[in-house]
Amino acid sequence: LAERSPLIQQPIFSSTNFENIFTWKSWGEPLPGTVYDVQYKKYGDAWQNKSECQNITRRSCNLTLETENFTECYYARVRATVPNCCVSEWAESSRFYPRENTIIGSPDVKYTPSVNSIKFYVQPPATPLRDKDNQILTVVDIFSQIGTTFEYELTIHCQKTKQEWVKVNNNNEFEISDLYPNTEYNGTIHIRYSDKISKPYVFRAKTLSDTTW
Amino acid sequence: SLKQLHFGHCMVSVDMYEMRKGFGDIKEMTQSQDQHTSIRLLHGSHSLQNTKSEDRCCFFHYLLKFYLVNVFNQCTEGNNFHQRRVSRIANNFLSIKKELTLCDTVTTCSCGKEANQRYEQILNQFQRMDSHSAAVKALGELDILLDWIDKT
Repeated sequence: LAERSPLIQQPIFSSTNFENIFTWKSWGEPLPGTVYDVQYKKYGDAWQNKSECQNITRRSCNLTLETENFTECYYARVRATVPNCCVSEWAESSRFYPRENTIIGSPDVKYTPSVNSIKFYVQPPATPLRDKDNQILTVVDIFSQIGTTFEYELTIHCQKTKQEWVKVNNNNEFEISDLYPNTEYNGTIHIRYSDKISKPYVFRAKTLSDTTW
Repeated sequence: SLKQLHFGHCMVSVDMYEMRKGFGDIKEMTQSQDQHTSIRLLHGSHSLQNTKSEDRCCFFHYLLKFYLVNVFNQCTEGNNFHQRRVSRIANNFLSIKKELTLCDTVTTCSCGKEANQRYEQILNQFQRMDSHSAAVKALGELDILLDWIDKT
């Protein structure tokens, strides 16, 4: 099979909440019958085949389990084979650091409005990883394990008065008080960690009417 | 943004932010030049924090000298941007090394068997490669070393 010019471009890890997917693009429309083989390794080790990603036609491969040690760094590579034609060069990712390169998704938030206040309870995103008791780890659990500093940041905006204020907490509960009754407030909640920030949870909440005389 | 770090009996002040920022600017380019990704110089099992406390000061001293002698002055090509970052990190290493040397005269920064063995393994692996590739690899592993320093 003659070597052809690379049929693959942009071999990258795309990672959200420590779910690490190795993806790549085809150079133009893939030739009929094109299949892909994926290998991975920890930096410093030998290449290993990812068994579930041999002779595949899709252009992505989930390497979450193979890259679950978030203190390590990894590589992945892919090559294309066109039956009765050619095999591409290996296209290799750059060095991938789960704890640095993962994007943190938006947290989940429950909020309870009252007449003059709103209580927020922030649930950090879950990861595909589990602890030794098989409990699902959240991104915050992982930050705690690797010593990454993090905090929760709430920005709230009052439609009526155009006021806006920011509150930062180390724990995942907020209570914003001294609010107007029966008034709409909107805003965002993020998780800040080392020098990065998660995707926002966007909320719109209305305080209760004051029924007292 | 100086950070006070302890290495055995010695305490040194380290500008972690500047070094991480400097390396972050050249990391992708440096690591992409490393063609030998099945070789690693700084293994997790040999990290500073996995080294006995009494050996840490000396092992760290070795690592500083290793980078100053074998790595930074080898990585002089590349554009101005790259060179300025490398020299800024090198200057940081020099000032840390001075502090450690001062401490060495006052207290003992003794070199135990473990520190010597670990350093030898790193040096042997480094010398098995051609000097330029080895220097590029070591420079690309600076984030690993900075993590070690930070976690000590």
